[in-house]
Amino acid sequence: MTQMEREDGTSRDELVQRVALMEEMIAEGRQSTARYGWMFVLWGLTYFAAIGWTVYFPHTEWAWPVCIAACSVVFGVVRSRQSRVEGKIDNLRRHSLDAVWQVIGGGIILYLLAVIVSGHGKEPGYLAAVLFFNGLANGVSARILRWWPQAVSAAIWWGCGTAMLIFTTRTEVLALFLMATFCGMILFGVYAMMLEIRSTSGMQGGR
Amino acid sequence: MAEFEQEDGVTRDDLVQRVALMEAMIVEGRHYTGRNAWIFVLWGLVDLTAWAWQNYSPHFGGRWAWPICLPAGAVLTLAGKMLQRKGQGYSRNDVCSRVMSVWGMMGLAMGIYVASAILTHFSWQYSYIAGLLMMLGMAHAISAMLLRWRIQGLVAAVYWAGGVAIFVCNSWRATNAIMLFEMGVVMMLFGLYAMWREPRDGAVKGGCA
Repeated sequence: MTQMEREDGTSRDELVQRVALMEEMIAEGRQSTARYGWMFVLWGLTYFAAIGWTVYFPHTEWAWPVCIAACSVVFGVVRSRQSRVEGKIDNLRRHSLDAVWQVIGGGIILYLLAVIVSGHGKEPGYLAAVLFFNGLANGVSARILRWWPQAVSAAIWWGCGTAMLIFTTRTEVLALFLMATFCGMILFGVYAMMLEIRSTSGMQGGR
Repeated sequence: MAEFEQEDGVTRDDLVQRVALMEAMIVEGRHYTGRNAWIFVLWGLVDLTAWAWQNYSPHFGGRWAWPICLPAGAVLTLAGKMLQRKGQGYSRNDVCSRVMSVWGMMGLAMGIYVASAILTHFSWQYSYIAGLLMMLGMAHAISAMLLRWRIQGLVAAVYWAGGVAIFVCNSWRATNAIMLFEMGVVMMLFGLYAMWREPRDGAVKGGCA
């Protein structure tokens, strides 16, 4: 055993235990992201609804505040019901993912508020920045969970953000925003939900 | 002891062991930030150099200041990390890996964002510059939450306040001053603080690089 001990005194057993704990946490983290796939779909549909309103309906200034508020209410209700049914899942990796999404979500809201209040909403650069923030959240989650589909989602957000700095007319910006939302949010959410359904039915089949 | 057992059979001892392991990982994570604090100082210097070159020597290739200084900073960072890894056989725990994930992804996102904005000539927009500060603030805030480190949370708040201030002030003079303060002073001060703390917290076994 001595030869397996490192200079810092960590034994092989401790290392094996650590690795097992980490693997367990990664699996739990992926599973809980899959369980929350509906959130990606919900927010993606909200973006679509808000943009549809701004393009086709009057009182466009209310589009984003109303859609975001409605989405937040639905989100809160479903989330509280879900956590009541499943109980609170809490591990270090879950805590990290929560930190990533809470911080980046809060940062995006603060940034958008500053843009709107200061009247900089006409600069196309701000939407590109929002796409980069979304990509950052997905990228960090993908690295923490070692999950390549989420890394693809991050790449889509960053790719569309970069394209938004090249194609800058209103139609192009809208099209890129919708494309990023559809591929990076809705499709990824549907994929995560499918994984969750498959794993749930697998568990039921195994009983 | 039985009263501490949950339905899934996890005993109190298991829980205590897990908590102790997580706490040790958090301490190692802070130590990791301290060991890499030179990167903050380096980037503070890179930003100050580019800023000074652009503003005080505009006729000496001033428009190339950022396109030259930023890749040079990236090369120096990579070289420094390689040397650091070669020098000491430090391990890396789960919290260190996550902190590294945050900063690695932030670096990648920032690299693509800055390169795209420079190539497409969008780097003059306030929303672009504020976006940079917001992104840095996000990385500091996530790291602060992972490491439960108030000082880093404060740094995140200062970056976000700077991003909002750029929109509110709406002038180039103010934007220049905010950028100089945030990218030069705040980044370097935090780096120096973390470097100063590192030998004190560095007594943790099995630090990470």
